[in-house]
Amino acid sequence: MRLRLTGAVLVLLGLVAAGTAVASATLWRPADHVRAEALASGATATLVTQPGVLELVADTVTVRATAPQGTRVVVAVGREADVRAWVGSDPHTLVTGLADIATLDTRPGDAVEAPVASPTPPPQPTSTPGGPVEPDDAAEDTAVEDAPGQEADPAGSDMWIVQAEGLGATEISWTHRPGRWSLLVATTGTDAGQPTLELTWPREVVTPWFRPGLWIGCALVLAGAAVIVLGWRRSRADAAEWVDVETDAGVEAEEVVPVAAPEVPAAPLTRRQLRELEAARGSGRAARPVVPTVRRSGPPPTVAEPERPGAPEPVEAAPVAGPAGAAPAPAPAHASAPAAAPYVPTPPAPVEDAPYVPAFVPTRRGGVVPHIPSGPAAPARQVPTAQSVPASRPAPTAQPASAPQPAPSPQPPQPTQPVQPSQPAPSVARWTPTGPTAPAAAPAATPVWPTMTPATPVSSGPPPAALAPEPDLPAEQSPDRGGSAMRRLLRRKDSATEAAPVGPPEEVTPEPEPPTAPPVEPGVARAETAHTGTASADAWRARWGFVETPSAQPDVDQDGGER
Amino acid sequence: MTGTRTTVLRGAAVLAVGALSLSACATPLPTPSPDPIPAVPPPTLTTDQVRAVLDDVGSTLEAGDEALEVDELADRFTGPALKIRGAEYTVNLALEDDVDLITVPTSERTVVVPTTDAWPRSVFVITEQPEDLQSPRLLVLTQDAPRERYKLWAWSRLLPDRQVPRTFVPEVGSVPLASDAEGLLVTPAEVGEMYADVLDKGDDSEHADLFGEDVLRERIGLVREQYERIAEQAGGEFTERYRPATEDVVAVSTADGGAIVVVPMTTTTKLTTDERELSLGRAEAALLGKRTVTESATFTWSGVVAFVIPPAGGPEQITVLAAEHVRTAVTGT
Repeated sequence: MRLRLTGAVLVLLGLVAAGTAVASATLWRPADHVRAEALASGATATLVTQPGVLELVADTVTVRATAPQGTRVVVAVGREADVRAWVGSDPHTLVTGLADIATLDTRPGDAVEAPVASPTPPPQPTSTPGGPVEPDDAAEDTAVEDAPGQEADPAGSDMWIVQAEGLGATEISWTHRPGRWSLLVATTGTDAGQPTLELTWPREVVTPWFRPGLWIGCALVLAGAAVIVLGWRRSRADAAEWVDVETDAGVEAEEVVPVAAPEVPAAPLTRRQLRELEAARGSGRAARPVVPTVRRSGPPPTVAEPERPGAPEPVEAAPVAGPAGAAPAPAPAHASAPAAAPYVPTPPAPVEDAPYVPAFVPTRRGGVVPHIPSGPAAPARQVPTAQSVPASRPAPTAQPASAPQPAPSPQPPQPTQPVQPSQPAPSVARWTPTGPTAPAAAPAATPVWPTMTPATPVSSGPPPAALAPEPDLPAEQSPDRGGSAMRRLLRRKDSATEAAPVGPPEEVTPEPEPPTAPPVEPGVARAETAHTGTASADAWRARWGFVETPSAQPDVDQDGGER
Repeated sequence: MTGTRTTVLRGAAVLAVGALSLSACATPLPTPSPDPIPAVPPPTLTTDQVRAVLDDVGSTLEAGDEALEVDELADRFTGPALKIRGAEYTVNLALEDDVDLITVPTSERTVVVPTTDAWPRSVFVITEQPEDLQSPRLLVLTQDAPRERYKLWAWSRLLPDRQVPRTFVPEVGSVPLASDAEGLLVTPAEVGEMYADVLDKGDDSEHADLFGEDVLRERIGLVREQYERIAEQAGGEFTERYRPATEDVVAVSTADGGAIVVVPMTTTTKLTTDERELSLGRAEAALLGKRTVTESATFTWSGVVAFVIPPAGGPEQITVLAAEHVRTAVTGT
């Protein structure tokens, strides 16, 4: 579930990224031009741009001027000095730059007196008195030319490089050339209104986010899809691999709650992993590391009826000789000892409530692969088997193939009979519940090998170990084993108090003969007595053979690590 | 729910950072970066603008010549040019037959554009040679104020065998000179008076060596002789005065540091008679409005004289480059 959720989120993110990238190049594509406006402020009928404004964004600018009510409007471009001199002392609005991307910055213009070359007596029409013209005279002349209420007409001046006029609106195009140029916009007439200036520059549009965004988005989508597929395959693989165990509905319906937390998500094996697993089994080696998972999203485990030869009967309190049993009794300290115990023939008796207890084989990488015994005594593929790693590991390292042999021999023979766990064998029991997705996160349903840590390689070919929770091990189990996983397990247990299996062990019985024996579901008989808190958890663990043997563990780990 | 809150806060932080980084990506507003103010003002007009002005002058002149109406010229003519053309129209209208008007070509061959930010501004143009193989004209276009247009202020005919001094191309522009500009053999303001003195006194003038011989002076001398003879025949007096309009001098520097100076000049010729009737020529009569005078007649000549003043320390002679000299008014009783 979590994988698929993650995948979905990735896909969503990818789509968003790709969509945003596309939108940035289409929907949000910046305009291929910059257009800014300015309105002559106050009552001025003249707009003047400062040098540099015309080429503010690009060298080519389209100037459009409009005037209210179809007033005649004139636009012209000339040298800065000429324009300023032409405007002179007339009130005008100076455009100084951009206020924002769509608005021109303006301020009232300063009156400028037309400079006069004082030393030079200008040629004068004969009608005018000779002599040098004072600046004041020039200003007066200019002022006199303008009838009151009528703006002067810049049109027709020889000074403009470009000019145009129109009624209501006019437009020119200007390409920058060396020098300081100003734009003059003026309305003319007795009731000249305020002209509006609009400058439009072409702009090269770049979409820097398009390609990277698209690639990232696609990558995310692909990654998300991959994750989803992975999750889906795992779920499929789990469904195929693990046989549901069904509690006996007829008996104690309420207590049929699986021991494991019901809502434990599971990371299923991929097909590839399964294949490898099989291959490994064939060769006596572990397949790729796999996150131990128990698919728990579905309904409570149900027992596959067809496979069960006999009428399933809950095995109550029947001590199932789990691998644990083997460990303690046969060879508590010895590595090979567990091998003898692994096989816990499962009585045809139905096992209710039994969570899936796949056998996990820690691999070199530290992953855990649901183990399918490969040895001669290997149970049917579909039989989930919990293995007592500690017990089996040592042996596998030496002779993966042979290891199972010695031990199993005694056990396998009794497929139908639960193995009586002789002793709680704390030393052997290294099982700890594991979360479905990660060794650390341990849903109650999954036993976790203590050796599942990355550092501990695990032999691949341990004999199938039947996991038989010890009837009365609870007290000895240390919840700390599994760390947070254990704590979570405990919480879950608490929440499912009643469901917690009690002391009575169930038998998880791997089939002795893989080829022939039908898959047998590990079943857990319901315990009548309800325990609380850690007691129940411990009981559960005990039932599943999760008995730790502090003393034995280190050696095992080291051996495995070397391997 | 701490986890949820943390997640929310974290998400908000991510959003904030994203928004900030996005806003940081926004392009800063461009600011005007105009070319620096040049140390020397640019030429006031481009060649194209000069050509446009000349075209307009030409069309205006054409319209005026067609209508023989001086008011038609007001938009593009001023100063001596306007006065001379007006006199021509008057004569032409009075005589009721075609009298050739002075040809004023407006196609430029050389343009001298001033570099200035001040007014008035003057553009010098050497025209192409007219089709009738008259001498090219030196035109002076002036703009008196920012809101004025360039107007043809004067034209003058290049005198024979005169070399127009080299000037800077219009793209560079030439520095306009004030009437009291230094660095020249004589100032633009002085040259007019000096030349008038030479005209008046001939080789006796102290400035005679400064100017040498020129066609204008020669022609003026010829005309004066004629009038002197007439005055002598009429028993009257003859006086002629030359008055350069020093204050209206227009000058521009040349490439060699000299200057082209155009000085308007008014010549007044007065004839008196001893009660004998003096009959005037057709053109003069047209200007006067009657064919005869009995006491005196005053002829006013308008025109300009263009000098080439070498830089100080250069050649010691001023060249009369071009001139126009047209009778524009006649008064008499």
